Amino acid sequence: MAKIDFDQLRFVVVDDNAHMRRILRTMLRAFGSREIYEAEDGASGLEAVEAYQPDILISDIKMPIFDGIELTRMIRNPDGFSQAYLPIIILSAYSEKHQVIAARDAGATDFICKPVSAKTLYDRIQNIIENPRPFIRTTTYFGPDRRRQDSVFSGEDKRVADSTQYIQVPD
Amino acid sequence: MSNKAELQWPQYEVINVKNTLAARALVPGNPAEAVKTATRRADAAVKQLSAQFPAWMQGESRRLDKIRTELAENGYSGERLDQLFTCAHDIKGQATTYGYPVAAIIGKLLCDLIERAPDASKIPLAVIDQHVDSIRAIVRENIKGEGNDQTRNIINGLLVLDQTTLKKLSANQQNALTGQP
Repeated sequence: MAKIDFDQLRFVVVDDNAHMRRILRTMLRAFGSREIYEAEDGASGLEAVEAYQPDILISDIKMPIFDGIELTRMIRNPDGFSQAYLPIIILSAYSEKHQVIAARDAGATDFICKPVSAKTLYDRIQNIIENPRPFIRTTTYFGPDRRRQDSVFSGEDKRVADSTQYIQVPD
Repeated sequence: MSNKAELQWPQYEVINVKNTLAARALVPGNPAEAVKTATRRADAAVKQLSAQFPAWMQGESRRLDKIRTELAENGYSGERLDQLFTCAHDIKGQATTYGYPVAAIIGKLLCDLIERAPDASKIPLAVIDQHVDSIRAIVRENIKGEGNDQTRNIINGLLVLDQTTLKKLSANQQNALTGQP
C-alpha cells in the first residue's frame, strides 16, 4: 500500500486568472506540495516548464499569447523539447466534446472541467502517478496513449505487430 | 492499382516511459486514508480562502460591466468581443467555486451565444446587456447556491432570448447570402 508524498512533486500552474491560480495553489499546498510555480499565459508557461522542470503541469486552455492546447503541442516535441513526456493536466471551463478531443489530440494527459474540486484534482494526480500510459509516436501524434487502459476499443486495430516498435526510454 | 506500401498503416512507436514519479513520490501508507486527509485539508483551506470569494466575484462582475460599456461607447471590435467572451468564460468556470453557480450558468449562456452566433458583432447590445445585468444582479444581491424561482425565471428568459437571437442572426445571414431583404 502506497500513498503520494506531494512534497516530492513540483508543479507549474498556468492560468491567466490570478484567482484560479490561487485556488489551485491552495489545494496543492494542502495536499503537501511546496514547489508550485505559476505562469499567466502560454508563453510564460513554456518558460516556466523549461526553467523549473516540473513533475506535473496544470494548464488552462483560454489564455493570451498562446493557449493551453498550443502550449501542450509545443511541449510534446520529443526532438526539440526536453520535457516532452511531462504529464499535462488541462483544466478548463470548456466542457464541449470538441475541446476535450482537441486537448487529447494535442497530447494532454488528462482533462478537468472547471469548477475543480480538491477530490477531482487529487484523483487525477494520483492516476498520473500510479497508472501512467505509454507514449505513442506516429507521423501525426506524439503523446500519451489516447486509448485508456480501462476503455474497450471496438475499432480496427491499426497497431499491427509488424508496424509497431516498442521502445524503452532510458532514465 | 494502389501501391501496396500506401495501404500500410503508418509506423507506430509505443514508448514505455520509466515511471520515475512513482518511484519518487509513492511512499508506504494507506492510500484511501491519504486521499481523505488531503482532500479534507484542501477543502478546509479553500473554505478559508472563500472569505475573499464575494470580492473576487464582484471584481469579475465589474470587469464584465466595463467591457460592456466599452462595447456600447466605442462599438464592437474583435478584441472587445474576445474580452467579453474571456470574461464570461472566466465566470462560467469560476463562479461556482466562488459560490455563485447561477452566475456561472449565465456566463455559459453568454459564451454559447457569442460562439454560436454566425457573426458575433451582430449580436444586439441589448441582448448582451441582459446577460451582463443578470450577472451583476446576482452578485449585487449576493444570490449564492442554486438560486430561487426568480433566478430560474431569469435563466429561462435568457435561454429563450438567446435562441430567438440566434435564429434571427442566422436568418439575416441567410438573407444576406441569397440577396433577400
